Amino acid sequence: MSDLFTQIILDEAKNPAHYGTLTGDHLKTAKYNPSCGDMIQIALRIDDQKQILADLKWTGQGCSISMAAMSLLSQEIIGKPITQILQLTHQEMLGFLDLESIAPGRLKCMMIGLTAVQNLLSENQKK
Amino acid sequence: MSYKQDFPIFTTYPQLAYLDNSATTQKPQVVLDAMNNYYATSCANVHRGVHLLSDLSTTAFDQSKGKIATFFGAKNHELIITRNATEALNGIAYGWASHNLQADDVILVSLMEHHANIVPWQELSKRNHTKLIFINLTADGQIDLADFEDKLSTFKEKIKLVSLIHVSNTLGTLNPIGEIVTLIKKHKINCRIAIDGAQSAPHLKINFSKMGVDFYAFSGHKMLGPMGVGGLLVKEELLQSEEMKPWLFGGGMIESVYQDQTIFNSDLSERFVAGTPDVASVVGLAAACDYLDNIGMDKIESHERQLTTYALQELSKIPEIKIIGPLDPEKRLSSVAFIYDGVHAHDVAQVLNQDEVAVRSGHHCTMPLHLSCGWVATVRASFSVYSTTEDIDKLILALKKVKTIFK
Repeated sequence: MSDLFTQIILDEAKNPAHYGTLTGDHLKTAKYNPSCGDMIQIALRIDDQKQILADLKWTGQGCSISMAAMSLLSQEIIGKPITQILQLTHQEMLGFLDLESIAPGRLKCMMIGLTAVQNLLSENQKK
Repeated sequence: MSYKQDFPIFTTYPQLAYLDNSATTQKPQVVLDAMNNYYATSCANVHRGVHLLSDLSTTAFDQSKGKIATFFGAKNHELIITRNATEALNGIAYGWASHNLQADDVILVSLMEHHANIVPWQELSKRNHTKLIFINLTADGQIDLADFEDKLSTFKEKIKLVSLIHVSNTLGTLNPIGEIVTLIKKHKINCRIAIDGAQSAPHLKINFSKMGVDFYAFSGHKMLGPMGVGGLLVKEELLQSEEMKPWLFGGGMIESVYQDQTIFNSDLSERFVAGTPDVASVVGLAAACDYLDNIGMDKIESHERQLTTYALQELSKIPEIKIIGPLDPEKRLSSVAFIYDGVHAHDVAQVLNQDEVAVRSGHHCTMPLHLSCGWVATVRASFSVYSTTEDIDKLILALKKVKTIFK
């Protein structure tokens, strides 16, 4: 527990990667964590031919865990196949954050970004 | 004054500064013993059998319920046992409002309400097309009485219910219920008044017979009792009237059942309770009421006022902290919520957790309040009878570490 605020997490939360908005055609979504007030807005573009995530930008407000998790996630998934992104779980998220485990109360913080991205991608697949 | 030795959680965690009492309180040994004892010696269904255990169980239930009602200055049959204050407020919506409110009738609540006193009315408006109107707050987080009067004169006889939180679980504000009742009378509004007492029952002597309100909802688990039991107090005349109807149906609440119709129980204390009640929890809550009574609610209130005053004073010395709600300790009760500049509430709470200081972070089920004030989330330290100034000292000491981690 005492090691939750690692340097990686503090740095990523302070200077998040791919933070911002996309211009031109793109898909977007917003996800709230109603118990703590975290909010993440995702904008992404899919390369339909290659079936990969071509680009992603995000903005949000929340705790250091949710911000760092989204920042690290964005660095991992841009350019990756959609099917692969849809298969990511909290295990991979722990890996991105370089944590062995996370308290149940912080799981939602860690997962808010991934859940938003996956929801958006799977909704798009249904279309 | 420290009562920690009465609470086994502090034997398990001797260093714990538990400051999340607005969410739920710890339970004293006497409450746990009363519940265990009930299951060990008296467990049977109530109001059913003729055997010894059924008698013992029925007596335990009836006596405990009577004790809880007396604790609140209410008659035994004015107390409807529910799971918690949320279920009690839903009971007002389903048992009373659904039958009496029509399209364009107005329910007045304040912007500081807990979701439990907002969502049931939004749902009611989908069924009955009623209107939910919010009373504004002053800059320091009190009900704006001028705005309240404006709304009383604007909506007049359309107002059928004023439903307000007694003590705000976020701002800590103690709302002047007496003054509010007087204003409603002054404007000659013939409405019912409901009070969400989840955060007042644990800290104030409540005398339902003298409050001048029709409904009072409370949760047992916030006042040292077990989780899963609470109550709705309803004025006798309202229970007897055709206005208030049962909203849960089944065994226990009936007089007689035929294939084509049912006559409800005429005994008011049984009419509104369908199915087997949580007898052990009612017994436990009665033990909690006894425990509080033995100390004395007046003494508890003054102890918690001292703690609140001390917390306000110490927190205001930390430059990064902005306290929300009234700064006058007379205007609030038993909790202090704040924002730490530049650090999210969850992260603050996480740092405090490392030093065994338990606080709540988030928006405390008051999202409309947080949105209207532009707060993402707040940190709340809240007190109970066993809280001490040492707990607050630990909080302050741990808060000083936030700056060193989030430079």
